[in-house]
Amino acid sequence: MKQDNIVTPDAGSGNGPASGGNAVEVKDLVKTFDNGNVRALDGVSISVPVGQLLVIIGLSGSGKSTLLRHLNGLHLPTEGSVEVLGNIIPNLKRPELRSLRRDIGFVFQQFNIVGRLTCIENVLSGALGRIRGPRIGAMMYPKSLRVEAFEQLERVGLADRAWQRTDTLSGGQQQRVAIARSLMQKPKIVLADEPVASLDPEISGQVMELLVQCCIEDGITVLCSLHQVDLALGWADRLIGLRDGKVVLDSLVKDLDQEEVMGVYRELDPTGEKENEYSVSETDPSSQ
Amino acid sequence: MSGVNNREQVSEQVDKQKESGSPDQISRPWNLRRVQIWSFVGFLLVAFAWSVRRVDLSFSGIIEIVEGWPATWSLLKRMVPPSLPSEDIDLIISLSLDTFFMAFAGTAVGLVLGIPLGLLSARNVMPWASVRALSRAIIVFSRAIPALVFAIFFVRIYGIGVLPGILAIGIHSIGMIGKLTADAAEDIDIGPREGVTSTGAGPMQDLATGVWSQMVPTVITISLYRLEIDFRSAPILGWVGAGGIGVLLRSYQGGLRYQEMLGITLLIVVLVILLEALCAVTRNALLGTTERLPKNLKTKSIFASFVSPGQKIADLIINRSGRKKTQGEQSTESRLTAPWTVERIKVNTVSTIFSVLLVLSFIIPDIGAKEILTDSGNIPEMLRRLTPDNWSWWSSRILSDLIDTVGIGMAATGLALLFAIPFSFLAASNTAPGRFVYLCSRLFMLVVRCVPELVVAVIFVAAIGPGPRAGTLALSIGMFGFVTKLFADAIEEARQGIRDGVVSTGSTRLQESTTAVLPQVVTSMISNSMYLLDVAIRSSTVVGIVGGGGIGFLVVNSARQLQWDTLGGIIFCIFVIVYAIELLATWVRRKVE
Repeated sequence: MKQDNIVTPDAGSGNGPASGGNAVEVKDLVKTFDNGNVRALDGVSISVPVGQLLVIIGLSGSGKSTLLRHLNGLHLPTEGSVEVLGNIIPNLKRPELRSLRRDIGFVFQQFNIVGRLTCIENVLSGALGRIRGPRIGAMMYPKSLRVEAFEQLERVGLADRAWQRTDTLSGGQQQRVAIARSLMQKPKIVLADEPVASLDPEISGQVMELLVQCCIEDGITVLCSLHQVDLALGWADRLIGLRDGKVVLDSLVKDLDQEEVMGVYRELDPTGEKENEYSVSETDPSSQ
Repeated sequence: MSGVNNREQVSEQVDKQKESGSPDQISRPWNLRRVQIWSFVGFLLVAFAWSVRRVDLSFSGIIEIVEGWPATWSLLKRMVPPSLPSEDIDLIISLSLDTFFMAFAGTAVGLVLGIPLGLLSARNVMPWASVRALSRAIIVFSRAIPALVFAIFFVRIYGIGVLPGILAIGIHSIGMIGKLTADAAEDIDIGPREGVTSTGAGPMQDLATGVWSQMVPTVITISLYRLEIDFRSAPILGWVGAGGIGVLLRSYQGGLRYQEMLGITLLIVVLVILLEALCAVTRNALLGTTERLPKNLKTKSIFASFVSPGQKIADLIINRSGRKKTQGEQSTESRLTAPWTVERIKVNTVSTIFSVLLVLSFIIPDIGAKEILTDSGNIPEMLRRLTPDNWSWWSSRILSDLIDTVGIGMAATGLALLFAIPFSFLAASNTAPGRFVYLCSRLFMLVVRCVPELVVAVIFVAAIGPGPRAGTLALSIGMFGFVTKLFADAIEEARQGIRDGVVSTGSTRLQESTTAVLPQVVTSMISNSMYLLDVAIRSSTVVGIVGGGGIGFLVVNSARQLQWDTLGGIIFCIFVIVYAIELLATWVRRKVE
């Protein structure tokens, strides 16, 4: 069951919009919780072309996480359709959903790596979709996968920590391990749910840059939810703003000028109550 | 300026309070919760008073013991000096080894069966409710039935020997291991598991990487904890013919050879202490102090403060290999295999030792692999005979013995608590009047805790005659050691800051303990007391086997007279009582926590 010829993703899919159909197609998505009492998503429609770097901004509770969690089937829609990489998610059977998930990396706000395991074990768990059967311990994975896991750890700059337990690492390092795990999947799409919300501003910039760089290199479509607008402006192709489960802004970044960016803040937060949620980060990732 | 204002406001408030402070506000108002608590306390006191009368330990009962003292004293004198007869020494050694390996293999059987059952009964692992209910039922049943009862059953099937002992320990262990495993599985973080699921992992992969890897430290703790318990219960199983040193204990008691009896008892105590030390060292080596454990398993080992050689040895090895590593560049090849870290050396050493012990435990004692094949066919027939068709087995003797059993359990719990509450303050490092008192108390508890209850019961029965009185006193000693440790550990976790606050008012040491420490630990004390009652009732069902009163006597007797339906009926009654007490205890613990 050795899998030595692991297919590398098509490097030609490139960067920028519309180079081969849509990776994500969401139509009139409605999601209610608590027996319909809470309307987390209220008729959201977006389509994301392959290779696009899309940032979803919005206040906490605006539905960003809920939207992202629909895209890999962690949530199922109440109404509307979700189509990812040509698969209509609610129609998928469990094995089909699993094989779709293999193509979608997910980076969580709380990292969601197993603290007791070593870095390399966590990264290797990203390859579980490619092999059969359970694994306990890094040495149970084939050598070719271990080599690959090392390469991914090198990309995130943590190869020297490979055999260290992840709960001994700092927050930024843990998120880098989580990114390496996602890259290990050889994903076509990476979903990042507030990947830097629990990190300090400087580390946030570094981690964001790392994530984006790796995804551009591998030609991965990125959907990332963020708190800080200015952190997104440095690299995103497109901005989507959510408020109370509705899309209130959808624009390519190159079309936005400074005036409009300020408008985005106002649009999302008309009362100005939660202004400090949009803290301006101390370092601009694009200048590093 | 504002300071002046504040002061005025405060004095105004004080004045107001003075005006409105009528005498009826001085005492605490009654509310529903307070009524509930005090009526429950009242109920417990009445129950305790009843149970003490029931087991003949009320005032007149104690007078009787005191009056009978000369006879007891002459018996005790016949026990000293303890001796191990030299003509039996080979037998003693081989039986001790049998006992050790019986406990070890029994725990292994318990783990092999209990962990999968535990996982199957965890809500977040097993989606099918029917499978969960079935595995939970097996777990509850094997927890409620004492190992000695299982031993009687298996001795009947496989004959006298070590095999019934292994199976009895193993089957009974399923209960605790299964329950704690299920709790551990249900307690894991959902986040990392979601992370694993998001990579497209299948259900078994998710179980191994997302669930199991988070559970490992808890499972290690559970296993070692269970091993300790099984080491304590194994020596007595020989009493009903299930192999090991208990056989000898019984034959010496039967032959009224009291010196030898005490000798064997002390030998058992020493063995149990050694084995507990082994478990403590192992736990230290595997988990150290870094692992995060669920609170209910965070029991500090009695040896924790005395041993940590594992760390030092491992550090030594690492320092040597670490120096080598920095000199030469690591090759890419070697990076791909796990390096020799402290943790890995420890884990490998410990698992090697345990594998060797496990293999030995199926080789050294003569377990009789043949019997497994030839006699296992009798199990269904035995089970059928144990199922009573009608109520003809029921007798008033059974009822009265069952009530005795509950009485023994409650009286033993009450007596143990009576002494444990004050004593635990002496055994906690932060409230003990001095280092010396603390160490002596801990040492005393360590010894008390290591004496298997049934072995104490044998001594008590010999000293003050058979009956519930002996059983209660014997149990209460074991319970005392057990609960004092739990209490003392809770006291040591009390927050220093609150105590500083009380000390700053100029209080004495006793006032400080009652005002600052007791309120902090009282909920954990209540919760532990209910747990104690649970454990005591379980044990009280078996003290009768060695003559300590209660239903245990009828258990052995009906097995001896081949009255299988009676035995089955009694087992059912034991199950009902133990399970009812467990439900009550869990309910109360949930209320106070």
